[in-house]
Parts: sequence; C-alpha cells; structure tokens
Amino acid sequence: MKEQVQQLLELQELEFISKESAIVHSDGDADEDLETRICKKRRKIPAELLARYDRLTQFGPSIVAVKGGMCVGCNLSIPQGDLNRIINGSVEPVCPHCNRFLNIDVS
Amino acid sequence: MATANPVNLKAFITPDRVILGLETEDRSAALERLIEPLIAGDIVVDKAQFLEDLERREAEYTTMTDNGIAIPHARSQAVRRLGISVGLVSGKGIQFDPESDTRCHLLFCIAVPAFAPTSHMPLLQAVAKFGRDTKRVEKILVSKTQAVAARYLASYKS
Repeated sequence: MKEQVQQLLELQELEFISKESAIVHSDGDADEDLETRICKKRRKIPAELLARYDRLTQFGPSIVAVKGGMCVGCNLSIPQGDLNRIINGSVEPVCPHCNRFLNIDVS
Repeated sequence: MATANPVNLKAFITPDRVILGLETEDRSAALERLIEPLIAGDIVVDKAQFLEDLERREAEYTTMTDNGIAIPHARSQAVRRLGISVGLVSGKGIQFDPESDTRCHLLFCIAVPAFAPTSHMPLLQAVAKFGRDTKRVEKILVSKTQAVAARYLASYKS
C-alpha cells in the first residue's frame, strides 16, 4: 500500500505542476508533455484506488501529511494507536476522520 | 483548488524581500540569492534543500514565461510558511530556461510549505497576472530602491 500511496503522491505532484503551469503560461498547448506523463502515471494505478483519489481531489489535496499527530487535510488528531498501525503497515494509510491518504515520513 | 480568491501582495512583499540589481547570468546563483531573504525572514530553514527542490521543480516544467518573467516555486520540507522574494535583474538578464532564448529580467521566488501544497495558488495567480502586464513590468524594473519596488508590487490589485 505504501508504494501505491507513493504513486498517488507522484501523480498528485504532476497534477499540481499542471495546474501551476496553466496559471504561469497562458498558452494552453505547452502542457501536452505533462498531460501525457499524467496519463501514463494514471494507467499504472489500480482503478479502485484512482477512483478514491479522484473523489478526494474534488475537495483539495488527496494525499496529505501528518504534522504533530494531526492530519493536515482535516486538522483532526489521529489516535496514536491508528498511527502505529499505519506505520507498521497493518492498516492502510488513510485518515480515520476525512479518509484522505496519509503521507507519513517514518524517519 | 484555491485559485479563485484574490490575494493581497502587500501581505507578502516587504522591501527586505526585494533584491535590486541582481547581477548574475547563472540560474542557480540567482535562485540562491532569492532564497537569502526567505531565510532571513525565517520562511526557509534549509537553503540547500530548498534550492534542490526549486531545481527539481524547474526540471519538471519551466516556470519562465515568454516575456522574460520567471516564477520559480517549490513545495518543500524546508519551508515553514508561505513566502515570496523578488529579484530584479540588471544587465542582459539570466538564461533561466536552457531551452529558451529569452533572457529573464524579473524573478518571483515562492516558497511553499510541503504540508500546504496548494496554498500558493492565489499568490502564483496574482504574480503571473502582474507578469503578463508589460507596462507594469517595465515600471518595476526601473525601481531605484527596494521600498519603491515593494510598494509598487504591494499596490497591485490582482
């Protein structure tokens, strides 16, 4: 699951860059290369996971960090037990409150 | 995505965040200079890390526009809060994008905290809109002091 979250994170970064480029460059055709890379990245991700990612993206970033034991997406505290289970891989890394994917840097 | 709300540049740009007469032709050197005011403002905590993140972002897709404005920005763990610095280049400009012949004369460096990856979108939008206005760009490029440049940018309503 951690690898899949990493793939989603890379996809999210590319989509952010695409949005940024649309703002910086007023000519739309400059984004073709980026769009191709996004499509390739999306094809590598399982459909069910991608559907969840797309649903969450409607409300902001789908993959968020955990800061001070709090989900940065919803600003709610994640119980330490849940965090431990996420870190040791026994449950999938999602926020128990908002369902966003969690990008936890164990180091 | 937070792109609809207009942003007040006054809240971000102060005279100490403006660098006048940036004399370099090298992109990395220019980026290093632009990071300095952000470090002084306690926005960036690790210069090397942020520089690396900026270069990585540039490698993905250039942030330079056709009219010689560059808006380098990056999400980084080395950033504590959203911030911006401005560089006015003197001389013949910077070869910012190796694939473009256009020389860069005005740079806006945006530091984006990794935990708030889209927080910069309204700021980016405001700065990009400013950059598209050739008359305004020409006017800011002849600023004599940091305070004048900062005031001019701060007065801009996106």
